[in-house]
Amino acid sequence: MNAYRPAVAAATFALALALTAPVATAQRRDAPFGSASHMGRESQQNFAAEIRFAPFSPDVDSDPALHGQTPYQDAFGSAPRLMLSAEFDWQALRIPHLGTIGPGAGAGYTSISRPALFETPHQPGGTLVSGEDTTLEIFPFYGVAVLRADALWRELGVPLVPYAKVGLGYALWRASNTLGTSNTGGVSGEGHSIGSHLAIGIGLNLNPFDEYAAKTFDDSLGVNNSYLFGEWTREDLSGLGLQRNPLRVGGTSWTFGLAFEF
Amino acid sequence: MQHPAPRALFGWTALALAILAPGSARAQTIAAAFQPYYPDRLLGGQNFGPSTRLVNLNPYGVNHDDCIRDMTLQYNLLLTGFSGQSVQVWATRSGDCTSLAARGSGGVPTCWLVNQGLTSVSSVMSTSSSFNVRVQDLVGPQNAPPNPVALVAEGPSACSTQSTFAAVPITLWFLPLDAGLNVVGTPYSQQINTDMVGPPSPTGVTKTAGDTLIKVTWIPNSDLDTVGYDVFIDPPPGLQPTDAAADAQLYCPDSATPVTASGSSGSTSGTAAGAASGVSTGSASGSMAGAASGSASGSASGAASGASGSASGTASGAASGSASGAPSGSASGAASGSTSGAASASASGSGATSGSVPTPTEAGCIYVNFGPGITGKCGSAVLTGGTALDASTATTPPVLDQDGNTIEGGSTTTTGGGVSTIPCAYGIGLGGNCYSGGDVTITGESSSSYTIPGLVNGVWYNVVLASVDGSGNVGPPSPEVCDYPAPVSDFWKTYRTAGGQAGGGFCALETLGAPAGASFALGVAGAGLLAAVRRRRRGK
Repeated sequence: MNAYRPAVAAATFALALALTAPVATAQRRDAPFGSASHMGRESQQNFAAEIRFAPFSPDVDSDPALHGQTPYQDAFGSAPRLMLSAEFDWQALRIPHLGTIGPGAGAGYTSISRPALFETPHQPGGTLVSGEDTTLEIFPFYGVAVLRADALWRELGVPLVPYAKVGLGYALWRASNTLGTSNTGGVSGEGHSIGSHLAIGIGLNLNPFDEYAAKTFDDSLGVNNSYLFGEWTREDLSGLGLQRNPLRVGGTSWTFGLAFEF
Repeated sequence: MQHPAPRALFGWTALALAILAPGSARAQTIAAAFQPYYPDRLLGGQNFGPSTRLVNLNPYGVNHDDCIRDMTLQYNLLLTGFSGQSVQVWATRSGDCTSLAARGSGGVPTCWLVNQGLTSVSSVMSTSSSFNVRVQDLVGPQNAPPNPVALVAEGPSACSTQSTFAAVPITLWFLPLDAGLNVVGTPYSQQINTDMVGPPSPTGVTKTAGDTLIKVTWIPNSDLDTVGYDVFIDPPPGLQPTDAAADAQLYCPDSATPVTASGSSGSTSGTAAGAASGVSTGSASGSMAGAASGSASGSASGAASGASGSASGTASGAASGSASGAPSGSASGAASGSTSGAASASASGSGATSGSVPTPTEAGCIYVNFGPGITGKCGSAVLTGGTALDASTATTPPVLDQDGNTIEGGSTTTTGGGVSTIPCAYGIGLGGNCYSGGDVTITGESSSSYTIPGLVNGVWYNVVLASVDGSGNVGPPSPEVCDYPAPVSDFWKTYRTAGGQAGGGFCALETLGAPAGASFALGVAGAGLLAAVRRRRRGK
């Protein structure tokens, strides 16, 4: 099952390549800015960048090696933490009447921390909450093929751009306590995990809401489109069949943020 | 361009006139051989040079430690043009000492004599002379110069006369005097910062424990004096209290009460006894420990009882010391009981070193030496007694701008001042000279927490904090807090214990034991992709 996902990604990418026009910058240049065909004086558009925020809970406890035990939830509870990330895409090719496709890369960071618990009730009082913190830091990275179907916006004037991303995910992680990196039985609490990355989302183009500002943004910084987006993100860092028993620091989350095409 | 000859002739002429002129007409001068000049520091007859402290801790001033150790400042100055005049050394907190009134002749003295100096000095050419000033003599009369003026040999109490937290600048005046004690010629003066009072201790000190550590937090000071904090702990890391084993009790997971209570110190006959009690309604298990001292062999016995009514039994066993004549030994064993009431225990003496917390025989358990009561181990005579001076009326001086105008008014505080006298060996990161050398556990007045690592789980530690000022004075200790480190289950420990196999480092190619590295596989895939791209380009 895990090996199937990269195959799907590769097939999607290949299909997109076959269908694309050779030049990604085939744009109309006779329409007013901010309208459905607004590329009157628009600059070239080759890239996209995203600032991303997501409430995130890693799938650590889904590891079969744990046999149903929940060390993550026991240590950190079930409340999600904020994942901050950023993404950069190269809109290498444009598919006529569909949108752009190209490679993208992203990186993020999240830290989950909570007071560690005593193994025995602490006296006096019998509290289990210690003065020591236990922390899990995750540095996720991913490389994806990104398809942005902006034909709705460019040709019909509907300011919605659905998109999809598929590729590989990779994360560095570190478990630590007050004294530094944790170590149990001689095994240090740091490592890396690999897996797949899949996302489906939709962006709301902000240009129609303030055409003058959009035009100024393009004239001054070359930003063609600004979006608010919402995205369902699934990062399955269970090893892709290549890595046995990795720490499953991926997860499923709803991601929100700002995107810019330029 | 002028010819040099006239100027040389003028200089020689002036020198000849100075030598031949009557004494009263010559200019007596006292000066240092170089600038900036700092006196040498003498302690017990040994010269430590111009400074004994770190550069950021008032290195050329004097602090409480200098005073209490009876340091002497030795000034080596050049005397020129003297023909029978005398030299005296005076000190003042304000103004100067050149007028007779300031020295108590016809007025209230604002200066005090710190060295009788020299009389009938004859040194037409520059001559080096030494003037010793005891720090105690320097700081003792700062609030009330003696009247009538006399050189008072101060004692250690002089080190407690300062009434402010902030340093007090005192100016030394080396005066050339005629027979009428009027200043003639050019005196030499030097200001020296004196600070005898440490800053008030931090408030709101609290503690929490972790695995082999205790973390202390506090409310940072807001005075103008504090530059850091010293942390003192009893017992110091690496040591255990001598009675650590005697009162140890065993705690195990999911148990709010000790599973097994150790016996008290064994009798001279070598018998150790203890009671074991289970807390669960199922089986009860635990260990029993007792200290046997005196003889080489003995017996141990104890009663074990389960939480359910019927679970009771008797634990008994034999304890024997490892060698005759050994001053102490410990007896430990396992006791188990069940709802059926069966309980048995065996104990064997091993002659363990006295004073160490026993090692639990059961995973996850910990011995804690509570002593007779929960708070029985809190309290350190070394730490709580470590205050030499409680300057409860010490005042914080007003804050002045460059023109001397008050920006912020001074205040009187009752939170104490004074200095710490806790032995440096109880300090964290202080070395052996925490009062004279300037080592500080944690620098920065705004610091508000510190983690003490390297402690022994199950041992009670007493902790106090003391603030350190810019002169290296260590203020009085804070109220004492105590706690004991104990094992914790952090995420990683929980994960690994549950069967998780990940980890080992960022550079590990694969999870431990896996046959192939994922990173290696990814690398191969990447290399293949790169090669394919190159082939495609060549094809074009």
